[in-house]
Amino acid sequence: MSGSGVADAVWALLWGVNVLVLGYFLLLNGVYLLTTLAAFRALRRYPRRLKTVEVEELMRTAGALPVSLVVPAYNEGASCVEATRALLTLRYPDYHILFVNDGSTDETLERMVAAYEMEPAPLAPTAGLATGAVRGIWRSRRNPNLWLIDKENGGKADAQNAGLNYCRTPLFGAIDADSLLEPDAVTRVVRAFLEDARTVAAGGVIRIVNGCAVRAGQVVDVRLPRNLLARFQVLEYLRAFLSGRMGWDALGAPLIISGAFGIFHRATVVEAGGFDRTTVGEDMELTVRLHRHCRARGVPYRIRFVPDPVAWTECPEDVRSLGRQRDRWQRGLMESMWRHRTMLLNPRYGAVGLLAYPYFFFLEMLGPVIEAVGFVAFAVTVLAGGASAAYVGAFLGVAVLLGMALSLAAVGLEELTFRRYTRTRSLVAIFGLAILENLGYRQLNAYWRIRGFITKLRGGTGWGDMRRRGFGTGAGNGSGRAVGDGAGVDA
Amino acid sequence: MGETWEEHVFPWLGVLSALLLAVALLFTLLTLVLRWRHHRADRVWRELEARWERQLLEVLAGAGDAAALLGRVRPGEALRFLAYLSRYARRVTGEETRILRALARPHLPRLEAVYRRGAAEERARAVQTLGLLGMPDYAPLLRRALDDPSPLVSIIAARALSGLHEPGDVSRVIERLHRYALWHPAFLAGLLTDAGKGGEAVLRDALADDGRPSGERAVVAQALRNLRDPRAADAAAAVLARAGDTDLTVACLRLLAEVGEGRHRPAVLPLLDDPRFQVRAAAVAALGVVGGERDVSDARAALDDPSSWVGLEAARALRALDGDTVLPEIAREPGRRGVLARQVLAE
Repeated sequence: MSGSGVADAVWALLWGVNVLVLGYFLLLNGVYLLTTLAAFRALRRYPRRLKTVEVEELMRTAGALPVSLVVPAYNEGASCVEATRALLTLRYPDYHILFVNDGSTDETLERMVAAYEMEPAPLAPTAGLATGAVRGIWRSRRNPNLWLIDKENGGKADAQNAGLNYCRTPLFGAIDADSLLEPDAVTRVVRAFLEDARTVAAGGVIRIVNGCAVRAGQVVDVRLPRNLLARFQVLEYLRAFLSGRMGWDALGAPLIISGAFGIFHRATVVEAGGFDRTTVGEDMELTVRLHRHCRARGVPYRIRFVPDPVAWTECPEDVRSLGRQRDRWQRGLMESMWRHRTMLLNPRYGAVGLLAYPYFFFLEMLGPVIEAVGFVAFAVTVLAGGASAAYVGAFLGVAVLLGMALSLAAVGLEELTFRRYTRTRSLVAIFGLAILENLGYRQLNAYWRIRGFITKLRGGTGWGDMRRRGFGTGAGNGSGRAVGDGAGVDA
Repeated sequence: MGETWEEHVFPWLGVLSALLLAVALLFTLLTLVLRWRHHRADRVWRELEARWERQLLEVLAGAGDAAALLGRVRPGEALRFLAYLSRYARRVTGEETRILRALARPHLPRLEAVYRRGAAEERARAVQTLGLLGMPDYAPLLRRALDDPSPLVSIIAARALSGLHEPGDVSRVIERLHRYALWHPAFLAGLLTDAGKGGEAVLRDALADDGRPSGERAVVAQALRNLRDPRAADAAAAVLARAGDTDLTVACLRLLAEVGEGRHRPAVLPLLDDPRFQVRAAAVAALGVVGGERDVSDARAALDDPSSWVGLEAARALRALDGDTVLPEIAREPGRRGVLARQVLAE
């Protein structure tokens, strides 16, 4: 091939890559637009329905469906007592707390036993999911609905399965030890099960507690965090839950119930095999597997996102912890997507297989790779004189404006519905964040996702730790993920 | 590719940028307008509450002038006043309910108008408020609402009618259970339980009706169990002889576990060996009520059932059948039987 032939081939390649990246960009934002519009439509109707069928009225008629809250904990000695106290104040008529001590090496067990006057209690398992050995079962004398399962260390999913094995109620909740549930959060999620008996899983909103005033395990004053990284995450979570999750729910294809706060139909989850102990994204993996399980058996089912119940969670405030979290989310996403790839573009799975799965597979899972290749190709094109600075600027400007518009739409949805940030200056600050996040934060996210992608390809499996400031009630591993809903997408 | 591509795309990028900027500004503006509207709505509510609250509390306490309170409701505030009264109506009973209904009566025709022309959620809300503040005057309207095109409106009407405890309404709701198929059986059973006080005969007939879908009969059986209707036990035993559906069989067994007697034992015994664990668990639980000393060995054998649920119910049945002899003895055993026995003894 002659010199000009090689140059032509390189140009053609660059052309192709640029078109591919442009297509990715348009498709990705097209989906965001679609979910935002679907969310808008659903959220407009939701408050009216809430007023029509009041939760208390519903519970009074049906009697509350009994729920067991499974709370896995590893080395939570500093916070477990307070976190449990918060759970004990939930306004729900019939619930148990199954606190699972996952082989902690600190004083988690001793503190729980002392604080709640726990004593060994007989309890037969109701399921036989494989878990680390259970060393003992304890029950509180003061709060008979509080149980403690002490087991060998096996990881979060293993601890959740241990809780599931001892669950005796038709529903169970997966709750992070470091999440603060609002008093009526369980009631509001269970509503989804009462209104549609086909519901097998439902999750609520995760919001950022950093900066909020917390008393006795309850958020009493909602404020924006002082830390800029945490502030960005407030906006990210609004976008992820109100635009993303709500939109996917409205489209009939929710693909993730957050591990920080979700309620599940016990028997269905046990039949499906419980939580997968070999993935760092056990919440998404379970949700995807429930879709597969129910479809394979021809069982009518629904998986729902409910926008009003809230779990507050502490988000990372330092770059290192946040990076590790996003790295882990990316790996979890890849594991779930690869494991269930048979669902990809498979009409047997309806909107999940034809819409949500391709989105998460191509745009979220492979997105970091496409973006990285795009950055390189774009840079080469510019350096080789294939594009002017004005053109590059205009393209980046469109990307930034589009990201901003979608973020502002999410803020609008929050204002339309739940209005947790009541101070007008908070609202104005969130507007500012929608602009600021494009100047570094989104790029950092893209970097972490690429890093997670590479780590996964190299066989990385760890969870990573997280430095926490604490809010007086708990600390943990921050699994209230906002992945896959435009949360971590580079502009 | 450079210039041609740029020349082609550049103007579009400009147009797109301008459009997106406009959209972003529009969203910002809309959000601020929403904030302002919400603030205004909150302020209006606070002002209305301040205007009505003291007098309403006086009227409820029997010390105030109802006419004066009604005089404070300006034209155009009727629906807000009804919403305000609804908040109280959910929390009070007896004489206070009667007072609230009397206060609401002059304004209810406005709500009826909303019911006639509103969207499904608005109609449902109107029906709910009419059920709270307009009964029994608006019962005929609510009965018509049972056939509203929206199942949501229909079920809200059914919920409202359940407070009247009229057998005719129990029948009407049962006939429309198919419209509420998505709702959880516990909710539907609760609905029929509330409605069914005084209408147990209608429920028993529905349970015995083989032509009715099994799911609906299971709901009816659960309502009869909630009502602890002793006369329903015979119907449940008869159904067990013919039923194949799991939910219906389990519901009938649970009904027998609540109100069954010794004569129902023959209907229960064959189901102890049913292949479905839910049925075996419910059967052994029922045996604990309808059985006697001669059934201790069956219950004891069920302790070793592969299903933990059956084992647990067997331990409970043993405690019911045998009192304090067999179970404490089993509790000393190691393994699952021992744990089950100790667990039940500790309950």
